[in-house]
Amino acid sequence: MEVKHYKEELSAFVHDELTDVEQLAVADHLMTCNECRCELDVIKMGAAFASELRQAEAPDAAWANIADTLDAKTAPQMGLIPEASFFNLRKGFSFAFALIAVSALVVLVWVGLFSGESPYAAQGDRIRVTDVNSSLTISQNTANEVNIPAPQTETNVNTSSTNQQPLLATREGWQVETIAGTPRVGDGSATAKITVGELLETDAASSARISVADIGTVDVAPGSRVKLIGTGKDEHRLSLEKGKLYAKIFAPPRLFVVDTPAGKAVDLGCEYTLEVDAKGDSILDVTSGFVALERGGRESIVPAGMMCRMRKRKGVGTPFSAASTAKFRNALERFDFSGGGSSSISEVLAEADLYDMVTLWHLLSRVSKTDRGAVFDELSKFVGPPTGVTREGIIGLDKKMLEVWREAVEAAWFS
Amino acid sequence: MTELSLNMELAALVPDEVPQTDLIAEIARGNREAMHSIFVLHQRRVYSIALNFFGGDESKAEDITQQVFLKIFTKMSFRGDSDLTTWLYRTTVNACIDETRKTRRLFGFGEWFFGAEPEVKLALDDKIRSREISVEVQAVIGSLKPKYRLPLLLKYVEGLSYQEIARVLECSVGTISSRLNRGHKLLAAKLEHLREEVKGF
Repeated sequence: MEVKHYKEELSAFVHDELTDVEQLAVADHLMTCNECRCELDVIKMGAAFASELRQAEAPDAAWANIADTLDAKTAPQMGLIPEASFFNLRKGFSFAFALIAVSALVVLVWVGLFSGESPYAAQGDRIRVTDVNSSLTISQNTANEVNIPAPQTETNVNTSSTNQQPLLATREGWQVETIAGTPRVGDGSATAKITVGELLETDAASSARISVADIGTVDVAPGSRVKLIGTGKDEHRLSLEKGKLYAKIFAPPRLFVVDTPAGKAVDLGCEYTLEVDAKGDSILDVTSGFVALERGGRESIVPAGMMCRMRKRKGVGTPFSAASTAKFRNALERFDFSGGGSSSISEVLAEADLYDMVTLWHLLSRVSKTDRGAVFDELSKFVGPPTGVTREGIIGLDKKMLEVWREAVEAAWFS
Repeated sequence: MTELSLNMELAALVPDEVPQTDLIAEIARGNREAMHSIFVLHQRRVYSIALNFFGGDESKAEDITQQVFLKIFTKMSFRGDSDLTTWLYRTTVNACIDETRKTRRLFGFGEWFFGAEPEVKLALDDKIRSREISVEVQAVIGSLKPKYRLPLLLKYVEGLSYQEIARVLECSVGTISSRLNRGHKLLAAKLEHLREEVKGF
């Protein structure tokens, strides 16, 4: 008589996914079938290995990058306008854009036909086109003008011999002073000025000082690369791609910003050192005032006497005091960037001291709800919660209470 | 972090009175807080599947996580006619498979056509034992064909029933049962050298 084996059903049997009748039938069969019992052992061993798989938290940088991408998209693409709206604004925008483009084309053709020469460049002017990290900038004799057309490098273009009319954009520059060696601006050696889009590079033996409009200075250390992103009445912006800079700024908060691969440093009226390593990770050391580090909706406010890390793929860390212990910093780093969770927080709290008050305040909104009470208790030892700030409120992340306590912590920090 | 503490944390971040259907509606209006709430609620499952699918490659897992959530937030391709979680699993699985296909296009067709599974050997000497088993299992899982890998991940990482797995992968329960069977056997064969390390063997 042919025996029915159950080898194909053994995983379902192990997972209790068969009907009661089937479970019993397989169990009965296993009592007498050595072959299926051996097979069951193999399945169970595979299941035991598979049980070693673990869940994991996405790094903070995942949300930060999503938020950055969302920020980069325009509102109509974000689905803000209902598809079935009576007046389809998307089509309206497209139509308006097309109209503007056609108008611009007509004007350009008219200029090309009826004007003898370019209004922006004298006949025979040499225009140097420099490719700077995929963005084209052109240096002309006129310092405040820039053309953004031809995809060429180091090319002579006789503007009068073509009908191409360059687009005009205003462009400002900042004074550059050599401190040591021969820093390079753009593709040449040091000049007196860096303009929007240009790079300032220092080698191992050179350094330079940039005058940031009329609000302060930035010293660029050896082995650094800095780009001027923009300058205007509402914002002055640099990008530190690698190396180190020392900024000394006297201006209203948020007027001066430095981008790094891991996040941005927003000046709140301060002096600080910012360093970017080869991996694109950065560390900030504030010597006066405050700096905000920001990325993807996460912000760390770093006062004088504190430092803060940013990781390229993980985002902004939690500020820590220059006086904190190595054990404290290591535990904090594990919490910020390695998914250290509750065990890291326990170590942080065990090591915390008076000068860690700012760190503890930041942690209130970053730890899990279950750890928040312990952080509240630890911070309370150094800066008592002001009137109206309760444990329950802080555990529930009451924004007003957090803000009130932050002000008290700040006052205590600078006292 | 335990599942319990995770849930407590999520409860703090997403108000109880806001059902997911309302969050989806808010996302359609571009509400960033609603997007963040959905991300907080579901990031762990999306990231975990991707991480284990790619044998522990954190960078790829992060990319997949971003792709999946951006798809919800910008294209709104979830229409509410199926459970959001099921839809998320399906989207994650598809994103992982698409990524694998891209990689194959770049690095050769051998495995795709002939089903060769790469040998996975890790240097284990300096690692803590429990961690090393987990890492090696993850690497071996990542080397299995997707048809065996995915049911294992949905079963062991996400704890889904056979019926739920069948719904996500859009095939029959019988097929899932059969693929899990085969997956278990492949794992047992490839990790035979760790037999003594696993509880009960």
